[in-house]
Amino acid sequence: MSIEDIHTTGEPASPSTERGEWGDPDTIAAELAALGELPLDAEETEAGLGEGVQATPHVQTVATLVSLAAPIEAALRQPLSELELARVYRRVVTRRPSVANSTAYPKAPRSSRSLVTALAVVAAAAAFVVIPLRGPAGLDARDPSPGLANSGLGAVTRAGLAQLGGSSGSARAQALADDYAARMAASPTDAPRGGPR
Amino acid sequence: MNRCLALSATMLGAAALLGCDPGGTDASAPRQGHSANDLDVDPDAEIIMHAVERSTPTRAGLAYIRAAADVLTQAEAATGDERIQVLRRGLALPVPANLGEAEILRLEMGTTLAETLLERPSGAPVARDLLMPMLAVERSLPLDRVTARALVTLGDATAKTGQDALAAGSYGRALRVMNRLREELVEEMER
Repeated sequence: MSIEDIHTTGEPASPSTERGEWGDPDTIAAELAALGELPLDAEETEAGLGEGVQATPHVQTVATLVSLAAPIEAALRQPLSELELARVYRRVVTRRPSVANSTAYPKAPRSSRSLVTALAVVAAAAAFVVIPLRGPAGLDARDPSPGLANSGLGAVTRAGLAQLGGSSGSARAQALADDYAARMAASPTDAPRGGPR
Repeated sequence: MNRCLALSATMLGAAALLGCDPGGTDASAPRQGHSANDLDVDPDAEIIMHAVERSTPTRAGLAYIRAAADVLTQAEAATGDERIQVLRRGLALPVPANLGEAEILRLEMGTTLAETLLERPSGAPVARDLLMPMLAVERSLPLDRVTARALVTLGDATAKTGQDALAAGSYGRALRVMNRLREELVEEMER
């Protein structure tokens, strides 16, 4: 097995066993012949290739590094999941200064801004409602008493009543009496003697 | 329009509050340690409402309305026991037949009386017993502001007596009435 073979197949080879094959000049010559390459020349033979990989520290180092990197490379060849792809994409996008610092970032349309404003109002109203739920200071905040919820609810309903407005009970009853008397006066059958008050 | 928006926001917040259950309890479930009134009334019952229609005028009807108006005027001028006595007399007035307006006036007097009773240390049970028959869930209630006010007062009374489920139910019904009134107000403004 050659170094190229180890690199392409990614098999976690054992350097000690591989060295034995590489060190065999007959094996090297057979592999070169199978690949259609020329046999080792004198210079290569002097460099020690023909005498085995073990005799060449640089080649041995490279072979060791390749064998160590093989499992990592195999792992890198695994396809990324959607989440990993999204993370990589986001990382790449955020590293692009033209996008992150762009002043031409599209603004939200007017309707979206109105929606955001409405949501802010609702959140403020919710905060207004939740605050009474906490109860007065000194009470245990973990107390889930429904009485506290009712006090908040009562406050909200009274606020709603105040929003409704309207006149006092007596003024309203008097207006009702006047309207009733006016209708009665207009009625031909049962007109009041005293007239509207 | 601003008033409608403010009322809508109040309704929304209150609906959120009604939706949450801070005690982690089911308000409709009967609980131990409460009076029989809690078990008799379903606090989650849908409210039945009807529009207040003007009745055909009669002399008896006019006399009743004028008497009720006098009672309410006197009650506003009075305080304490005197106010309670005036309002009790008003509620005892005989109601002529087919006088739809009397429902509103009686509710107005009853609510004012209950509000006065609630100012007393032991007035909450009396106020509750006064308003509960007038606002029973099986009754159709007039779609009017005073109905909402009466339901809020009933909620206050039952909250004071510790009937939390009833209180929440009364407040919820009051909110439904106010919501309907708000819808009518919006419809009137759009006309």
